[in-house]
Amino acid sequence: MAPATAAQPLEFLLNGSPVHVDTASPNMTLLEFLRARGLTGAKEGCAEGECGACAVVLVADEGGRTAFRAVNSCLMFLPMAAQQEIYTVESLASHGALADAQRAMAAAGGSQCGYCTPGFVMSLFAEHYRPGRTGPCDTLALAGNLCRCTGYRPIRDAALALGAPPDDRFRRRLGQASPAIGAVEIDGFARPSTVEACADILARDPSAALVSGATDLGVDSNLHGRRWPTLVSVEGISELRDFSETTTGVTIGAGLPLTDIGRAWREAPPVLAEWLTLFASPLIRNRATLGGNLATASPIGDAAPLLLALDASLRLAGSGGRRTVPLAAFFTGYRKTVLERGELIAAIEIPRPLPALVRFYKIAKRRLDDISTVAAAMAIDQDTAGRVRRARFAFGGVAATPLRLVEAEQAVEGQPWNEAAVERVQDVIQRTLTPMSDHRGTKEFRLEVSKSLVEKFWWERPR
Amino acid sequence: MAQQNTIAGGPLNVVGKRGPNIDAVERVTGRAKYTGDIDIPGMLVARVLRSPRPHARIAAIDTSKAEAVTGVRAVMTYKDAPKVMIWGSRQYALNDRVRFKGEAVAILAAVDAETADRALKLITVEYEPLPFVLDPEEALKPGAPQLFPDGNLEGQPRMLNRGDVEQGLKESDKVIERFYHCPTMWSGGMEPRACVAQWDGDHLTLWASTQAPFRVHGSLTAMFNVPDANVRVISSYVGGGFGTKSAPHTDEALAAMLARKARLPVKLQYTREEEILDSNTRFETKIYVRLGVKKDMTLHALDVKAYINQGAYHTRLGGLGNQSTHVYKSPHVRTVQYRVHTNIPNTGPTRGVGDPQETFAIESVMDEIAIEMGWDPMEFRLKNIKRNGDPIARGAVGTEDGRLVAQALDKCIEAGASRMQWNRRNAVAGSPTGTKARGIGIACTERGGGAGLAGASVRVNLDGSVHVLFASTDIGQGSRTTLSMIASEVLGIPLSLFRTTAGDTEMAPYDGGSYGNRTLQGTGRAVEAAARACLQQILAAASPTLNNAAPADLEIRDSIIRVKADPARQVKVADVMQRRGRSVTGDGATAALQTGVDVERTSGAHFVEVEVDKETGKVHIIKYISAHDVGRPINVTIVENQIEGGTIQGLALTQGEEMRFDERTGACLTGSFVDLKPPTALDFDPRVIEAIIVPNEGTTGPFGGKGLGENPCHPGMAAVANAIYNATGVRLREVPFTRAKILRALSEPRRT
Repeated sequence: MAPATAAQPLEFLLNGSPVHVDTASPNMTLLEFLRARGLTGAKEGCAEGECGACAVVLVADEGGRTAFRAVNSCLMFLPMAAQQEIYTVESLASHGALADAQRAMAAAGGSQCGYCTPGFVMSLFAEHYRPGRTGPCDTLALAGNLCRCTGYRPIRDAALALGAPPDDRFRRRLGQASPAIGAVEIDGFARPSTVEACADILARDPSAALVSGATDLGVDSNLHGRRWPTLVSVEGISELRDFSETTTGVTIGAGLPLTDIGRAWREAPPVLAEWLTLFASPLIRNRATLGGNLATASPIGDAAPLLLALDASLRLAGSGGRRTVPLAAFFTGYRKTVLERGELIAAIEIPRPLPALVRFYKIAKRRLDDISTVAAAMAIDQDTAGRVRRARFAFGGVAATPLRLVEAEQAVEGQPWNEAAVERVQDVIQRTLTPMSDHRGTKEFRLEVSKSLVEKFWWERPR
Repeated sequence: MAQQNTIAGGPLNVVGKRGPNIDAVERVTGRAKYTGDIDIPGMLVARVLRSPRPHARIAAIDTSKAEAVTGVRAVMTYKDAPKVMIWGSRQYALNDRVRFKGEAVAILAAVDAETADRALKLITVEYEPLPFVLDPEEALKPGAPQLFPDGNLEGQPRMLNRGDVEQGLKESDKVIERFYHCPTMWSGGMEPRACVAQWDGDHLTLWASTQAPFRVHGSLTAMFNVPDANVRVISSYVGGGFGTKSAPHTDEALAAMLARKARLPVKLQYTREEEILDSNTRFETKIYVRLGVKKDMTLHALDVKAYINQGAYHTRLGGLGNQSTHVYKSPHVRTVQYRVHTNIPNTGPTRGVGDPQETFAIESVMDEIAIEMGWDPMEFRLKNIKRNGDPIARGAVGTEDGRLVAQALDKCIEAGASRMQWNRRNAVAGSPTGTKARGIGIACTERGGGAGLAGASVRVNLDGSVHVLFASTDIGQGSRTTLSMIASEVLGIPLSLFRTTAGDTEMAPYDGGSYGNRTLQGTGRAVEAAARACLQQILAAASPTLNNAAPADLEIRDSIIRVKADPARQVKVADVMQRRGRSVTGDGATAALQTGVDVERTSGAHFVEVEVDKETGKVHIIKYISAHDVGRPINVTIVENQIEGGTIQGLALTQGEEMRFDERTGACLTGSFVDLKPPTALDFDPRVIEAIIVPNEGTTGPFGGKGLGENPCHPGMAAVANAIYNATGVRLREVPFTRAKILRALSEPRRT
């Protein structure tokens, strides 16, 4: 179906200079575009956001502040770059003088074969200039970049050697506003600026597919050659990036990158930081959103278990109007949801008060930057007598959808939270869950680990 | 943190220091051009159609629809591919038979990636499926599916005999028999394979991501039947190899064939999945060991039978190392290696080749018998290791016709044990009672280095700057820097005036390549010789301006030539060169390292302390000491990084990187980073790893240096298994040590 308006040129700022792309395949990645222009510092290492060799930096708004954000350029479709401001490794050195991040990496011996180096440099550069950073750079900022040569110690040394950023053109850039990410409509790609406009496009074009951070869809495109006649990005809808915290609840825009949730939620429970740290990698979190993670409805998505344990609801919006659905009723089957054609997730609502005790656990092969074998979130409220007022046991990786174990919750509510209660929950897990066996874990392992996590949750209760 | 290099030596000005790589700026700015970064106007994009079956004959293949696509410039199948095998392999670039799932069946080149992808889908292939086998022992059984007319066993079993092992086992006071298994593992680098091929008439230029440009050169000259001078292979910047790029591969042949047919340059770049499935990855080993000892703590007989899963084709480059024969004294040793072809992808030499797997078996069984005998596992090792002057085999046969020199394994063990405080280990394995149990383990290893032919050129330019040219490669081990430091030390010209050309078969003399601990000891000696040749010419040219002083009475420091006895008499190298008006060139070449009875090896000892969570099976590395003999370190920073990086790769094998195959379909289930999980910066806290460079000096390498790259990757699996045993009393004999395996082992009744 023809787009509503004529194709527009795609424009953005690349390394400080305006770039104008007349025709672009909507499936071309930013990485492919950069490399075709001779900017070959960013490399393709995996094309699925696992290795960070392709990292570049975007100038982004961080709740009113401007910041550099390192992202995987292999997971950004080129049209998503429209109106953005992008820096690649080639832009960091000026008149032969290396940027501090580059100098530190070179001095520490942090670059051996060097293939991963530009990606590490960009992650480190963004961390070096992170607004409000005090103390050395956080090595967690490097968790999305893989290196096979060094053993990481020299790279870590480089990060720890970096102090405050210099007063240079990059720091001065942070003193100004980030670019406004507005509406775009070109052949095969649309970025509306309102929910209504978005719903319109979806209603008009049945082949259109929604995309948020593209950290999942991009993998489908790059590795499986999947194509969509029209991609509709929600990145320009400011409502989807809202965050509000009131006495009755917290509302998180479905299109707010995960990184921003951690920053915006000022009175967040400790579980939030635990959860975000384990959620993919910084390079992914800088683009990925809750809306995307939930809408893709993967049984091993990391968002659902915690949000289920927090009794979240989803605010859905579409051409037919708006409605709110409890997350527990959102997933209807393997990769299926109640979302109707032309409908999108606008926000996630988490009611207050939050449970007094809530934890998130992720069992994966690797500590960070991994897919869950089993993910679990558990919450408990007790009355003054110590009886369970509210219990939530939510799991991913144990069934076709993320789910809450309502039977287990009922089995402990009104009872003391003790080892006997733990055993009742474990019994429900054993009887009712039917995880599958695959190369990430056997059915038996998943069941065993799920049961032991309940015990862990009990042991880790505050005492 | 590693300890300071404390080797006392001659008045060295460059060698033995710390310092960043000379090409660090190119790498951190993104200016370093890797093969995939090369762009030639009019260059085509190549794509490979791969077999969906692990074993089949191609009954029919139709490429007509793909050829009809606008923008497709060439399509090739086995019908028009040269019938010449890839060097070191039984594989044709394209054949009418496929032997692993993912093998190339057809290739095409088109004007852009989208066209190539579209056209590839239009090739139709009819397969006649054949039965397949994935396990090396199954593959040797009667009735097993056969990959080759002469069977699945590659050549004869490799046998090595010393003494009489059966008699030795009979004479032993204690014999134990064990089985150790390492699965196929992926251990490659960050850069997927890439090559760009361009023909000019009968001349081929091939840019390739390879460790061994001249091996690729040899493979291609044979394939296209052209003189050596007609093929130029360039491998300038390589994004890691770790052995997987040390042998010629089908991709280079495919790109060259396609470029020749299309009469246009062609780029073939593998995806990560292709890189994992069609690479030469670490081979599976199934090792059966019998070990006999005498009550006096001496090792008496060692019998090793190994089944090596070579995968479909590779022939020359697999197998165990010398852990069974070269580390410990034993009067009776027998090793038998069955190198078996199966329908899994090609395997090959990967960091340490078979040494990490063999070290896992030998160092585990050494531990097991010491514990059964009530001996301290470290004392048992110290009692039995080969020391300087001990007999050792010079070649691949068992006869101990050589004499070990410049060995420092005892010092490695002592340094590591002291740093780890070995005596802290549990006197009784598995005695810690809490949920989290700590334990300490040890593993030793050794290897040779520097084998084969090497060459290099050094050129001093008219302004006194220096060019070092070599055809081995810098794959991240820092050879551009190390080799330049060697020449800088010889010439007295500062490193800042050096440039290198690496991995270019047209610019540099023959060199086998960068693999097997060989670049420093091979190419490094050639560079040293080339630099000395230059030095003589410069000094001779300077002599007339220095009152005809004899060259032997002159020296160069900081690019200034001085009369040693009268340093005030001096002239700048640049001035001499300008007056000379011709650049100075020196060539160096080396052949076999060891010609006499002296045998020099490189050894190391690793000590690890682990904490095992007995409820979750999680293993946490508390402290890891990697003590290595590197001879004299040329660049201490580089050596430390190599030790730490290799140690992490060894550790990675304990936790993941296992390639798993579906027994029903032959498909690899772990063809991505998502499933292989190489460690991130936060998986192993690098602060717990400590590299110790044990003071020593080699006898063959430049300035006493020894090759190092492989060794640090060898001991991890064994050291961790031994530490887990010390912590929990549970012995793991199958890699990787997953939580599920540890939990299962902990729940089994304990053998005493």
